[in-house]
Amino acid sequence: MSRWARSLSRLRRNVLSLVVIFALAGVVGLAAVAESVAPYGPFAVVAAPVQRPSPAHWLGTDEIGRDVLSRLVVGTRITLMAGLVATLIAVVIGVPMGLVSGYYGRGLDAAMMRITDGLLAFPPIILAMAMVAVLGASLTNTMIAIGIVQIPRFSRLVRAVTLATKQLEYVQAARALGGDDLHIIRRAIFPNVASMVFVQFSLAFATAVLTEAGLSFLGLGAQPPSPSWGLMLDLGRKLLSKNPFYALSAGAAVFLVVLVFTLLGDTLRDLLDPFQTTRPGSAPALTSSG
Amino acid sequence: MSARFVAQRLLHGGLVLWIVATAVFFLFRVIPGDPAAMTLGFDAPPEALAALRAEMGLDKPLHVQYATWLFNLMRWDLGRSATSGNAPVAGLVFPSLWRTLELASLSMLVAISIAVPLGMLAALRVGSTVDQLARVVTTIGFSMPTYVLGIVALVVFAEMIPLLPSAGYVPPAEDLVLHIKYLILPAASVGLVMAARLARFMRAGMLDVLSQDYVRTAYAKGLPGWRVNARHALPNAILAFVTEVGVNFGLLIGGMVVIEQVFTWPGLGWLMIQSTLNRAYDVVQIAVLISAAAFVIVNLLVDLSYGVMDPRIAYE
Repeated sequence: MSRWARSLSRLRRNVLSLVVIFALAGVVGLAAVAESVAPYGPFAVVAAPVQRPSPAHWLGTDEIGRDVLSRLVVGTRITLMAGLVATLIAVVIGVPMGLVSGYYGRGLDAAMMRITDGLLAFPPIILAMAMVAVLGASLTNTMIAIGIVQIPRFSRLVRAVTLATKQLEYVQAARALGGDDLHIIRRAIFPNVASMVFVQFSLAFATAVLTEAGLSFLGLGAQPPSPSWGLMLDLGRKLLSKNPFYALSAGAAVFLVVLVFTLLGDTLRDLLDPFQTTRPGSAPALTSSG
Repeated sequence: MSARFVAQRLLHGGLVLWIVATAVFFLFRVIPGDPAAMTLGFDAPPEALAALRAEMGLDKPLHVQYATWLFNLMRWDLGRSATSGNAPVAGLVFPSLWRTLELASLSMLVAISIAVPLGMLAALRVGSTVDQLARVVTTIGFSMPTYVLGIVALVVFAEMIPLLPSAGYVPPAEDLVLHIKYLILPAASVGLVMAARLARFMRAGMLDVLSQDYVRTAYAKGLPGWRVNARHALPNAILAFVTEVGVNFGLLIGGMVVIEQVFTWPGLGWLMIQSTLNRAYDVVQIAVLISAAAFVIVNLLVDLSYGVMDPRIAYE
């Protein structure tokens, strides 16, 4: 049986994986069609401010009378975009760093590992916060900061896999056959790294969503009138006694998206890493605190 | 524990602290705009701006500024905040740090007292209802932001059933009972989320130990199950767990930022946010430095304590 066929049969056996993939498709689909399924415009004032849920407004209205459900739906897109951009920044910088570090070693490796040490010396959210404080509060700067903070996740992982892979016989063979460094890194080492990066991508995405919502909650990320979930959480918490569904629904949305991507990471690990013997719950996912 | 091991860890800790201090220095030098103008306002008279720049040392070359920064840190002079009425920065930062540590410690206590029994039971009865339950709880805990749980706690215990005050802070000297009441909801929110993470480690660590030869030997010499677990398995499982607690405690110090905002708990994170919003960059800079230093020091202590508890480590 080929590797893909084996993966596919494992997928069928695993109902949870299917549920996760459906949930992922649902979230992405919702982000894609957000404006057309939202009952009202995300910025339109459609009713009296701070109303409790009613048939016309399922989650009530916010501080100036916008429909909470509509803003929540449109906010899906901001959340996914922030997660994607931040994680891509971390991948695009971290993966080449790890490859070069692990492959060439010596001075280059030492220099890059010191940068990694420096990044890891800070509690992640504090470093992201400090960067946003310096660069100015905006969604773009938040995405950049979260991306930079997450570089070590990828550089360290890729470096470790590269170090292990470069000792293997087929890599030695590729070199003996006259392959240059670029060829060896691209054709012999990278394929080994790629599946691990996929798994880590999903977990880093979850952390990015968590951190973006946190920073926006603190007033350092997306700015009003953006329907960012973190921002809605902050504004909603000041109106807990009048419409608790405002803050609670935004919080539930963050939780569900993070849950989907955390479970996706676990699923990908089971699918793509045939060497791992999975004992239930033995390998804790690498999400950071939030 | 060998002196060499301690010296090695201390040296490494010192090196990381230096990297942190350097990173913070350069990070806060790339601020777009002039810190003096931000403090006084952009329409301030040029003489006043020049005077403040001189006072903040901004008129000197970068390497002189950097040397001054390191020198002052080494003799524990955190400076005065030009942006906050010339108050000593240490007087702002340290009381906040203690309040953060107070909240973090209590949260960790909540987490440990849930995680240890839950993780142990799950490991001793793999596949049982307790194990399944632990699995669901930990999966939820991994994805639950503490601030969301905090808001849920506020809705339930301050709004729906008004058992506790909603958010705020009272110094313990003023009203100890109220002080503790304000602590309960944030500590429980952070503690529950942390418990989920730690329970997973406890379970994995315990499973690991239970498969060791010495546990089999203990059974073979006829010890009852509870005694094997209490005397042979648990102490060894706790070892790995302590490292995890330490690392997570370090992360908690930073991770408190958002929860402190939810409960308006005036800790280090809260100070950082307030200072950022007030553009008091000299305070933010020191607060970030202290937060990172606390993180580094906690990690150092974890390394050292691990050497004390497990002498094998220190000789590797």
